Amino acid sequence: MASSQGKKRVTQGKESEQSLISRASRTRNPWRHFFYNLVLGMASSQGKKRVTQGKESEQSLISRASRNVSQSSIVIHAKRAASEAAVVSKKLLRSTGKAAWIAGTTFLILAVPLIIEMDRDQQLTEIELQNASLLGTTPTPK
Amino acid sequence: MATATATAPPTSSTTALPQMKKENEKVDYFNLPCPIPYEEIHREAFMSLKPELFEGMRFDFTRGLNQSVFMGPMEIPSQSSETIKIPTAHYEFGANFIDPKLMLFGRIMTDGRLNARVKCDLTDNLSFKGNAQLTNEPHMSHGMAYFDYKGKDYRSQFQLGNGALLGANYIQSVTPNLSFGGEVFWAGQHRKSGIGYAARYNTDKMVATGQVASTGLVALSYVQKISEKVSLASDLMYNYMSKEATASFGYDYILRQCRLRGKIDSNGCASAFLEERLNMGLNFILSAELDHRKKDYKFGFGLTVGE
Repeated sequence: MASSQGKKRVTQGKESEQSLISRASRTRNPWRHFFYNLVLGMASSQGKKRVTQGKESEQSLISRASRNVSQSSIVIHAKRAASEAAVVSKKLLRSTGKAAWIAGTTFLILAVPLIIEMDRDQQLTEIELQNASLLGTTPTPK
Repeated sequence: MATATATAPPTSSTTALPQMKKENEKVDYFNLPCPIPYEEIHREAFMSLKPELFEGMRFDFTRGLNQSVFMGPMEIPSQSSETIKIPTAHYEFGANFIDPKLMLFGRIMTDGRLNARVKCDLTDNLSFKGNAQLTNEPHMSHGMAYFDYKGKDYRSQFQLGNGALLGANYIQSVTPNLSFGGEVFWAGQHRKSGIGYAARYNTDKMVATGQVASTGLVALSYVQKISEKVSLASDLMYNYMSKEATASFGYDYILRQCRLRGKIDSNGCASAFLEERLNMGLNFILSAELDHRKKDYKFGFGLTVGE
């Protein structure tokens, strides 16, 4: 990336150089040509270069630092561990969900009606007992 | 002829045993109770573990005439693991004739199926049962005739069916609690024959049965009556040919207002069947079946009037 950008900048600089040279040659004045050359050299090589160099070094520093950090073995290990943990936890969550669904529905089918019916039966027996104690009649079996 | 040859080996082996034991034991081997019929040896386990589960809605009216309406999806048998269901509805009309000596039942359905049953006591010991099913599809109609002979401590049965189906079975009480039986059958149409043995041990607290057949089927069942209201049942079916086994465990709870049957089996299938008595002669039925492996869930409700 950095090298291609640099190349682009160089080609741009060449274009402007050529245009300046052509203008200077059109004037046909050697002094002026020299002056233009000087100005061109000053402006293009120093000023622009300084600015671009600053940017490049900054970018390269950040990128190098980040590359150093991202390519370090700890980070790679951590990343791998994190992704594995995510996969495992997802699987675990899904399987526990499935197990909970199976257990819950089975319980709902097998145990809940039994509990409800036993409770109803209990209530019936209590009512019969109450009636028997109040009215003095013997509770009818079944 | 077939009965004589079929029942000969179990008869000789089983009757020899009590005579040998008779001398040194107090049990009166000449007055053994009559065993229950060979086909019904798994009766208690079947009652608890195999209720008539259904899906959808049903309404049965049984008062003199028998009328039944059913609405719900029906499974179509297919080779693939996925079950295909189509919604169906049918109405069934039936008539019963009940006399101490003769019983006639007839059922006709809107899809053209006719089912007829006859039960007739020819003498005190010999009775005749007939079963016929007629459909409008070719080769699906079939009929069966059974001749039962009930002895003092044994029962024998001779079966005759269409498709050259012949069968005979015999069951003998060996001790007051234990009975042994055997069967032979021959299906002429499919050129198959088989032999089977069964044993049953029952006390007033538990019933244990075992059955082996040359078709590769091994069936064991055990029912424990915990109290008058509760019984627990388990069974194991093993097919030697396909090496498949299924075990199931169920409970049967009879309360004053309802009867509840629940079952869970090794195929991951849980089911429950609740019959709630709302009023005299009015029953409300709830049926649920969850097949976790196939992800097939069946729920049904119904009403039964009469009985």
